[in-house]
Amino acid sequence: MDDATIDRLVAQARQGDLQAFGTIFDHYHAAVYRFVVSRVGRPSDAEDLTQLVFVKALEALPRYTARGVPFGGWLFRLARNTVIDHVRTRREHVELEVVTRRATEEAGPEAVAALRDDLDAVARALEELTEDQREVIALRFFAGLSAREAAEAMGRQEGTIRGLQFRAIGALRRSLGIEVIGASMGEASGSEPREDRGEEPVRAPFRAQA
Amino acid sequence: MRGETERMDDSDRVGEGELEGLLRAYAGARLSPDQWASIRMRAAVLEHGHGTSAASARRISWLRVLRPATLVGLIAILAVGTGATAALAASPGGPLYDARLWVETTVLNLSGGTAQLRVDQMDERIDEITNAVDDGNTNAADAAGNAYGAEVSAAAQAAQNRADLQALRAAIANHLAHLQAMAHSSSKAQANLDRLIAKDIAALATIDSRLAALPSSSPTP
Repeated sequence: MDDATIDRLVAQARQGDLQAFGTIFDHYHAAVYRFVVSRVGRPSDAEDLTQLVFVKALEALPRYTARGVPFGGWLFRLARNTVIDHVRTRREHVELEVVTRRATEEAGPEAVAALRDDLDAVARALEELTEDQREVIALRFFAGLSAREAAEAMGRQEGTIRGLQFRAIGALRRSLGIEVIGASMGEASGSEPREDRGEEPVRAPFRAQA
Repeated sequence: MRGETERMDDSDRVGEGELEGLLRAYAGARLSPDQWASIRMRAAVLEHGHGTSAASARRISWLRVLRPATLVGLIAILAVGTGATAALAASPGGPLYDARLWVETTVLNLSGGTAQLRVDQMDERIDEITNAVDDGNTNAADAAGNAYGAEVSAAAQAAQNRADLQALRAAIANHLAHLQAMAHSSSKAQANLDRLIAKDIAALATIDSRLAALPSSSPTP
């Protein structure tokens, strides 16, 4: 769905068109849920909170004005605040845990086991990130936001988001054994990743290192 | 929102096919809501929306023009009565209700049978079900419910492209939220409403499967 379509749906929803809001929900809900569940851990909590995010969005929509802010960024700011409120209320932080395990039905048992190992390794690697880094990964990769939208959601500068993402990616690579020769020096010095400089990445096999 | 990671442009890319693939696989396998969770969340959100916008005016459907009062003349000619008797007879559960449905469906098909017209027709049934439940008229609720179920099936069968399926999905999800809200507040028509709710949930699942089977409309850059 392109930005113009989203803007049109938002305008219709602001006029009370629930069908338009339903289409907005259809477009965004999985991304919001993925972000929320990656932050709170429990699928049942994530379902409740995702509902709450959209109820808040529905109520706040008449007050929403674009002013150059992408709707996705505005919506995920609501999602982020909802998660923060939830964590504060619960007075506990649920670490990212293995949630909804879905069988890969078309794959054989060995492939499923291998995939499960890989995903467990990803979960462990994510737990080693800082809070900010994990949040950026959740917004950028699990929810699919642009850097600008993630910046809006987190109330940070876009450059800050890119920096956090860069360091998070480096940490994930190291944890998962996905090495880019020369990248560790680049990461340490804060320069751009090797592949961003147009050089070919060279990786150690993930399976052998995990 | 960019929707998915594949929408990231070159300046956004971390450049890692393997790492990006792993993160995407992780999100897909362990972080994505299942179909039923999506349906539950949608129904709850729209139920809230219905509650807050109950006072807002509903859009005028072409089928509203074909409500019993307007159809009286035609039905009366087609059948037996005139005036108020025919209007009553053409209401859900009345002896002329089937004739009225036949007229509606015929007009709909002659009009091209577009997804929007079918949605309008289903909206009309939902209104009838709502009125019947409010009146405690289980016969009328049954009759309108049966008609609604048949119209949902016909609309699902007729929808052949993504836009029609999405429009139908949105409409049925709205109906589902409305029926669930009614089910909360009406014990008398509970069985009828549960049956319709199950019908809507099954229709949504079918539509989702068909949508998933369609080729993506936004190719990966």
